[in-house]
Amino acid sequence: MSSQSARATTARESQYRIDRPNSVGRTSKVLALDVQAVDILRELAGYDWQGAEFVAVGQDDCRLITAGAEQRVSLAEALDGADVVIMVVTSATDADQVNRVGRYCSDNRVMTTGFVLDEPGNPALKPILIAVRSCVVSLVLESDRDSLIECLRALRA
Amino acid sequence: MLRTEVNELLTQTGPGTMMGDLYRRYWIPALLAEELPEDDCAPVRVKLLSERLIAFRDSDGRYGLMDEFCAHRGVSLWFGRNEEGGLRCPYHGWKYDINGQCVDVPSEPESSGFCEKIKLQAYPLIKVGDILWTYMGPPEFKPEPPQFEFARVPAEQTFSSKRLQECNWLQAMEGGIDSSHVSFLHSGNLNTDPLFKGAKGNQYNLADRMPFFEVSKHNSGLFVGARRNAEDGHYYWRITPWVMPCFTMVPPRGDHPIHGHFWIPIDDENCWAWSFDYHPNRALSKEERAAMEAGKGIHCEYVPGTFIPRANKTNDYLIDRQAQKEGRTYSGVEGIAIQDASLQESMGPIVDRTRENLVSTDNGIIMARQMLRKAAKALRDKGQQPPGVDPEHHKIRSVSVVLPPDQAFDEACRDDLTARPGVKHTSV
Repeated sequence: MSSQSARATTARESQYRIDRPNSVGRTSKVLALDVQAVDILRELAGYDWQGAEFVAVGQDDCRLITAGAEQRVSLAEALDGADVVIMVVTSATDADQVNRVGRYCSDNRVMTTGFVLDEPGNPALKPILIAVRSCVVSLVLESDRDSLIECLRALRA
Repeated sequence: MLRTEVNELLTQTGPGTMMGDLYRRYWIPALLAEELPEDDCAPVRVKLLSERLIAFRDSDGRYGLMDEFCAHRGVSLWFGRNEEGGLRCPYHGWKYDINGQCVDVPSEPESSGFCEKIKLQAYPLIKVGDILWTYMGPPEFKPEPPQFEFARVPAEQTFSSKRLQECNWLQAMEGGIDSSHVSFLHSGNLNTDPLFKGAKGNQYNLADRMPFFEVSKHNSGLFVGARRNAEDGHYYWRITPWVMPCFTMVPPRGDHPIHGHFWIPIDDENCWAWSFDYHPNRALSKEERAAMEAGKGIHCEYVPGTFIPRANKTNDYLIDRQAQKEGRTYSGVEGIAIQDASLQESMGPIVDRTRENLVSTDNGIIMARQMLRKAAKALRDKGQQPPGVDPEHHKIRSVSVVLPPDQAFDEACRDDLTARPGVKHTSV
């Protein structure tokens, strides 16, 4: 073949990839910002993940949600070492809560995604969306819980 | 990242595969109308969804698309004689009409009825706009013809092209959903390409390389909104619609024609990248059409007589490292179409998604994969018609707009995201 580009795009060449991981594990923190979201994350915490931690964010402190156990910590402790934060909100979320978490992530330069797990047309979401949009790099509006699972798996959570 | 089995489900479109069955429920572009320019013209070989077919236009101007190979002994009907209402194999004279029905077997007596027992697989082929579309699914589920705006405006307002892309359809289509790459890969073209330059929105693109992304569903796919900073605390939104399985539109720039793509599988390792440009309420100018024909914008230059891009993998995409260093192009490859194609082909014929490291701004791609997988499973398990088949789902547009900070794009732009005949597109 006349060029490396041609060789590189063959099926045989593309089967060859250096057989070592091309990334180190990332620390993902999945935050529930209201009781509805906590119920969802409590179930998800029992699935197999690549080290994701599930956190229920309260007014004064946070609880680390793992299957069968919930440990209380501060927001700073909950988000310590995070590479990526996924905020899960519903129409029951307090916008001030979003702002508090968002400010912390911004101050600590943590990549933050918002996942609004509710009917997109719900008018109760309006103030929450304004708050979320101001502090995340990416926002998904989706009522299907499976989409959240898909998103977390795709991000290697 | 995706598990291997999910990657296979999404990328394989041959007969009997789940994604193949999904694709077969839609009208898909098959040829440019100009490839069959007149009655009884030469037939054209077409491979779609891993099926080898022959397309022809008969003596009465009717289009046919059928199995490429004569039922007698497997000769390619590309050598066929297109005459008197059918395609005649030159080997032993077997003749077929546009429905694949054998209408003459010269070696057998007409009274034997032998030819009535011979029928090739054939698919309907219809002209909408400047494209010939085919439907390769069960006849009882054939939908109404497509209603995409670019194919429905008068001929002087629209232009379509296709090019061969030597990789799987999905990694090509994902480039259409991911607008974060524009600020990098295409940055050199925003102020120089005649079909892009001069739009006010370009300055926002170039000034803000970290857009915020918002993904929301609509009834047949997704809206992916990319938000960049504009003046006075406002935001510049570029909103990309994706209609299942593979239609995307690029958000417009100024009064330039709006454009978009389909990515149609040839087989699992190759696809056709279809590109269209149109203006909703005026004719394309002479200069615009000339630019498109010259390979500007999302179109490309070709190896003469083919649909193979002139810059391709055999010549390293004519990469210019000096241009890369000087910032005239970001990757060193010239032209928006080939900038995308070169990188997407370099991923390999079917990219190994088990090795991906996606980030938050890839949420559009993540959601699209999930919707495709769910639709394919729903079709297989419940016979559910996939989203995007209904022609009403095709009446959609991309949008670029500046909004105040507290306005959601999907509410503010509800009408703008709908194709309204004769109404100009919403653009910055």
